[in-house]
Amino acid sequence: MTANRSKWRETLPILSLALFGVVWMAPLIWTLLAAFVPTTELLNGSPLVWLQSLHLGAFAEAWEVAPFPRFYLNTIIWVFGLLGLQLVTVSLAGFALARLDFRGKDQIFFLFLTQLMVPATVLILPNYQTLVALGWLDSYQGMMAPYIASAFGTFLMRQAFKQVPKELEEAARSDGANWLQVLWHVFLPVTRAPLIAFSIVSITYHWNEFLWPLLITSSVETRPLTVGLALLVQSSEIGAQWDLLSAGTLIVAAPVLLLLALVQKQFTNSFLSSGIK
Amino acid sequence: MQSQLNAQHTQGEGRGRFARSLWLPSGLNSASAVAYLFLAPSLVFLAVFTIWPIISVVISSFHARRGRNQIFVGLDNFERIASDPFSQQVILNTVGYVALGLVVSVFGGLLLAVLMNQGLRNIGFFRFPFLATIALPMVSVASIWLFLYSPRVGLFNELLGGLGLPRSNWLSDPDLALASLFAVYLWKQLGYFALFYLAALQALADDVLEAATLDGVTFWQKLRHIIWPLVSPTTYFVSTIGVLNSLQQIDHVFVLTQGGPNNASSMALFYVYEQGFKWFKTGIASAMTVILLAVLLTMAMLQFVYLERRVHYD
Repeated sequence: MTANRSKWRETLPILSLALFGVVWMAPLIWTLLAAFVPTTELLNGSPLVWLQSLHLGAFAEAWEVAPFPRFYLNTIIWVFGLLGLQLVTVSLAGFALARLDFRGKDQIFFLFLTQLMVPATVLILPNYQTLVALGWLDSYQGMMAPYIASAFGTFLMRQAFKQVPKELEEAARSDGANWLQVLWHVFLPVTRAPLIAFSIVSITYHWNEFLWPLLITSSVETRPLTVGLALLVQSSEIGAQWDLLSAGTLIVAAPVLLLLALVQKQFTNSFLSSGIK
Repeated sequence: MQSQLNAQHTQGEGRGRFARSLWLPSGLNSASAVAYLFLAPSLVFLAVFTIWPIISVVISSFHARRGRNQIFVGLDNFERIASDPFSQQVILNTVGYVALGLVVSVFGGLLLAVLMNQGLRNIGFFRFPFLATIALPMVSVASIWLFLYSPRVGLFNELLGGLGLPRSNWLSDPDLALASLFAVYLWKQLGYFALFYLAALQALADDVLEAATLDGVTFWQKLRHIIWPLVSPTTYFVSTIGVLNSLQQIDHVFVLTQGGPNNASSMALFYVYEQGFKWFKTGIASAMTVILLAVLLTMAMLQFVYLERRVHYD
């Protein structure tokens, strides 16, 4: 009796988790099926029919219907261009806040804190007006601008730089290195982990971003994948072609899922450090 | 003085491997000049895209467009938002959605984390679906659910039909639209909240949890009286990001309902978009942004007070 109960106690959580997992997996699997199996067969056929009718036609068609190669290029330029700029700004600012003494440190710290409290998504309206004034609408730099300074990245790097032993810094300084050289040769090589964590969060967040690019971009030459997909979903001609939409969805999501599959543990840790983001 | 010393030191006799490749003008070697230089790129962008927009949106929330001019209208925009049934509904929707999001992210996240932590902590396979939904773009997620919700061929109606139950118009029924959006949000974000609880649970000493199991304490008693108090800092953190997340994520509103039917599933940020970018009512959109800012700043303040009270957290 008690043995039964404790066995039950052990299996119940596992069963519940499995149930959770199935519910969470089902939409993903359904989408996979819908992309590889023609919609008529998917709705009327059995799993055996599905297996027999697997095809890549929907991907080819989606690739044709919307300029996905261009959208890919746009996304890669804006996401990785932004990341490059952010790595520079957060390393420099994080270093200054962690290792240098200067007047007004608290006030500057508070400025960064403001960005953590007020995410850019909420400021779409005034930031749009600023881009109009700068003439940066429909441009990569316009999409990047609100994110080039990153409080999250700066604080992450500040925390990491604080843990670097003072002796390393002093050795390089007495060797005649200036602060930029100290940062480059001494600090950055030992803080790869937080830099990677920040990069994973930044890439995922901006690869997936929709509202801001939607407002800023107005041409095929700048639109990222997410905006392209949303326009595809809403266009009436292909509104109910589920195989096409599922294929489009996978085209957009595949790189992020791949990144996740490759570095699952790193991914988890990066998102844990992301907090407020 | 300091700067001169440093400059001399660096230029010095050219000793050391760094001396030959000077990257900075020597005068900029004083710590504070370097600090300002290093901070400058970030500060410029913070000023233009974080500080200025906050100021400018507050200003324009007190203005309205009359012809080509912006004229000062005092609190008129806020009064309109407060009195218009359309925006009242938006606020009601947002409050309900965010409140439900808060409750579900805390209790759902904790429950999922506890389940994940039961002896399966090393099996990545069980975590993959939850991580995958975090990683997916909301636009993709919404497209997936558009198919699931489809009245004629969607998975949900197929399942209901198969069970002999009546089918629903998930997205075009005013009573269901907002709940349907919430389900999408939940599916996407629950794993994110569970991650934080999972990390907290794994940081707890194993013997605390095991001792409780040995003493014949039930699962619920353990959850209520042992785990819940121990993870309270995480609960606070998860509620904060839960509110932030649910306020900000509106991509699914675009793809699935466009705020409809009849405004039933509109929310604050979507309202800002509609007023500001579709109907060019900048004053009203600014006023709603200011309301959102007030909520966010209040939350930040509460968090600050909380952190001050718990000195050894963090």
